Amino acid sequence: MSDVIVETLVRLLSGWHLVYLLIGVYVGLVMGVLPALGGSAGMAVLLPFVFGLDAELALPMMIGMMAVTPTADTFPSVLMGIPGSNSSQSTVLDGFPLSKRGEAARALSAAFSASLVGGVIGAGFLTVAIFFALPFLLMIGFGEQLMLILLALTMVGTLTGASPLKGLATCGLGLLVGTIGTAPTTGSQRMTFDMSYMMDGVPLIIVGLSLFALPEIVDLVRRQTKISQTGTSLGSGWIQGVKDTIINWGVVLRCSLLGVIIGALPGIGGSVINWVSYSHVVQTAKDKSQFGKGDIRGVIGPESANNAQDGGALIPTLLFGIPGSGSMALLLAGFILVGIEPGVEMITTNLDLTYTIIWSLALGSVFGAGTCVFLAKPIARLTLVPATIIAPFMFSLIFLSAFQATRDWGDLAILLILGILGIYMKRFGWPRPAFMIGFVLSGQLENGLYRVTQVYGFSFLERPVVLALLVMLALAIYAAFRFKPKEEPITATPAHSAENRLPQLMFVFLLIAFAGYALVQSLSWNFATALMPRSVALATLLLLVPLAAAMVRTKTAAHYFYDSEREEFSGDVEYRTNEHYIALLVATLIGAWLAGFVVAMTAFLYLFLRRKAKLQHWQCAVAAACLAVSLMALSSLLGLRFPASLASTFVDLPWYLT
Amino acid sequence: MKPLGSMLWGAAVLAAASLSSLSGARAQAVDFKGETIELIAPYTEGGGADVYARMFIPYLQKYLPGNPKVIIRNLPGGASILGNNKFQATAKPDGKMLVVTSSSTLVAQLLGGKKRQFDVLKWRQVNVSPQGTVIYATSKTGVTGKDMMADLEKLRGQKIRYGAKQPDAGELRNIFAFDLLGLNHETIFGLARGEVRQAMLRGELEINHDTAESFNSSAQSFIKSGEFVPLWTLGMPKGEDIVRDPVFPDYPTINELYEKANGKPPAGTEYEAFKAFVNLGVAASKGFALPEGTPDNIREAYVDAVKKTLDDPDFRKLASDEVGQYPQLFGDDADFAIKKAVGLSPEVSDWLKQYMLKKYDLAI
Repeated sequence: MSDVIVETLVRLLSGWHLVYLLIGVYVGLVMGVLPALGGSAGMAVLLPFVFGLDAELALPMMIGMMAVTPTADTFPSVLMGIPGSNSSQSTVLDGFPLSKRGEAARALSAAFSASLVGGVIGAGFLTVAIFFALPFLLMIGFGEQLMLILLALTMVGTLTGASPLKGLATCGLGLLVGTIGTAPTTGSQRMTFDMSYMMDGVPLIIVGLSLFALPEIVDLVRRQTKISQTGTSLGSGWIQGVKDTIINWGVVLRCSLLGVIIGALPGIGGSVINWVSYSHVVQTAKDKSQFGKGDIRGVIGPESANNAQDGGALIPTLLFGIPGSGSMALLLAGFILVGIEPGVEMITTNLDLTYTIIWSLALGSVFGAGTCVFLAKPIARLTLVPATIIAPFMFSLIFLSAFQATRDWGDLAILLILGILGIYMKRFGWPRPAFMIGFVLSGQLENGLYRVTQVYGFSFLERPVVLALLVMLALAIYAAFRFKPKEEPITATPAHSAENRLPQLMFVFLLIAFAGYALVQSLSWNFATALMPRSVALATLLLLVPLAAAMVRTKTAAHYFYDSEREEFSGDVEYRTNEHYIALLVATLIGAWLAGFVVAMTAFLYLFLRRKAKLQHWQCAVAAACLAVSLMALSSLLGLRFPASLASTFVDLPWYLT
Repeated sequence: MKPLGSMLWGAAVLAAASLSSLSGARAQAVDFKGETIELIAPYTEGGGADVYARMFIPYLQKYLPGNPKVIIRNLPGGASILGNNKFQATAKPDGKMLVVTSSSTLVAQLLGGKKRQFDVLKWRQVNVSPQGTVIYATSKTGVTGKDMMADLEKLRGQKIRYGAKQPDAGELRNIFAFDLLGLNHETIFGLARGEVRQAMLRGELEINHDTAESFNSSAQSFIKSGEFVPLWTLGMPKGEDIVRDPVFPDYPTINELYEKANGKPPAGTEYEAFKAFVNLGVAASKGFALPEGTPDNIREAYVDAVKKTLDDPDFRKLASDEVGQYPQLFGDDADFAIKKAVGLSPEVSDWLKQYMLKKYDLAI
């Protein structure tokens, strides 16, 4: 066996194998940097070249690409607060604040070195575990899956923010939004308003973009002249980031293992991993005060986990042909094209292919992260560009990314609706991470509950692994109460004051109205369809109503009061309200609907640069032209079309202008 | 003079006639030189029909007249309804846009209700590629695959659980089959095929189906190791009959088993519904379609290109599992296969509505 390991490594490092690996790595880097174009898009780009290629060349290319997308997507997450993909959403929480503190280069290089280690640990785990995993994986039945999902749900305890009541209610809302769409167990429609777009529910990538990216960027242009508040320097630089990773080796190791294991286990799903690892880091940290404000551990944890995850996810993919994620599904398609059939043969007769995969994963992580570390410092200079110049580009990027979800107008509409929700959640201190945990686990939780009742009934409690997990669950709940982050003193910030609370009261009542609406709707559905949304809506209302009552009655400052509008605004930036920017975005979207995506985005960029950044006309024109050209180039290279505008129904427009 | 004159006259007429027919042929010749053809895949990247479509792309570029560029556009959502609606709304009958159809498209045609704004029956099918369905059970149920009657008795004597994505999907064909065989079965929804396989290995589910392609690629290794036992296929529709699957001629069909167990061949409305679903899930499993009103010559150009692709030895090697040894249908024959799958008689259509309402509380 050990000669196979060495042989495959030597072969991989020689001649064309290495070239193909590097092609994969660089395609992956480009795809990763562009938000929402992750592994799936990369695989779609590579597939045409995989046709007729020898498996030994195709594998390094495909795996190399997959290995680096979760590395490269850290750039938008850290520098712009735009989640680069579903697997790096939680990186935004501390990564972007670090950029704002002028430590972008440090955050990036910490993320990349953590990614590198994570990727190598994932590959190492795969090397060993693939031989022993089968019996362990078969121990995780529907009952065990449900317990694991519940365990992940308890992580929300660490992400509730200052007011636990508010945090739990937010998680409930996330669960509730997650039930929108076709009910997985009955095929009935829930809260889809009879629109076919809504049948598949709200796409995760859009929830990430609208709750994190849009509010952060709006906040940025309102408050700061540049992303980096320190202005001119990039601070401690990239060496510090590598040091951070080394100092926090325990975090790296634990989160990598977490990523690998959750990646391999059935029924939980890859998009949960970054959230679970983030909560784990927060939960186990002694000093929790800096999380959400720029704690480097909040970047290191999820980034090591999301790179390690591939190593784990490959186990079921190789052994059972079960794709753990979208890009794994495409990888599986690639396998079929080059004639690899998943199954137990992968650890017997096809062992050399398995090692080619493992080495490609390890080497890909090293090459990818190495390149990124090298690029970290120059690219981090973006944080020194005035916010009013970079913001319109970021908005365009977000619109473009959101549209990749299903390439439907609905994507952009949902982005805006949830974006508005996100802006006010940020303003009134509703913890968005808690919403995300609820949202990503909603479908899994419902499926899990349904399967357990269908297959086992209460007898699932007789299974030993379930019982062990039950004990862990109890411990996790105990830990959530016992090791709660220390409450900040209320006087520390004027945001918690009880004065002028009408805006936040209105927001609470809107949330109550939404949960109430869901509850009323659910009354007309059959039992299996209604069970999950009805229970969640009820629980959410039980949290929201007392909260609202307390907010109405209390006359002094309290944790559940929060309004960031009371904080100081910098005098260097022209004061504009949230509503001003919401109106701008709505107008842009209406423009896109009337005149076409490219035209509207270009016009938006031109006007934004002219009015907000006060650039010269020619500068605005050059920037707008650059944007238009890159949008069109991107659409022609990747074969993606922009949403059809009203204009295109009257005039025959070229495809890139529709 | 007269004979010569009339001969000349005749020659002139002939020449003119042949010239006009020549220019007519020229007007009809299809040429996609310099064009970009959009291939709509109403699914996410990596699914069965998406991979099928992607495999054809390089060959369509090679064999379509004028060697156009073919790009694939994935428009997923709503179990293929979103993408198909968009195809219906935007495609013009000029051959520059086609769609890959699959069983999901046909199920949506039957059960899509108001959300479906397309009509497969009006599209012009280029081809359909059949794909067999194999049903297998875990060895824990006691089946051996050696004696079909004994196996049926074994399965009838216990509760068997099957996994499927959702009630209104192509998996109904197997649920109908279990009904016909009088099995005591229950379906756990929300499960993908791979998840079902894994759950069977854990002993949580008993029975599963796979298309020929994934049966060969993903179930085979557990059949060799004895965990799964292949039982039956849904067969292959031929005229009004269903015959043995050409790729799996050793496995009996549901029809054979029914006949042996009941002493007479299956019949009645329930059986008609089963047959429609075998047609949509097996006979018309995948294919390409052009929009309504596409002229014959354009469709012929596509049929020709697809035929040449299927004859290409490189393609055969690449698509050995996806296309297999199944008889491929083209043009009008393909249209007819689609019609057999979704052109239900009012009686069968009503029965289906009642079935969905009674069994799954789903109004169509």
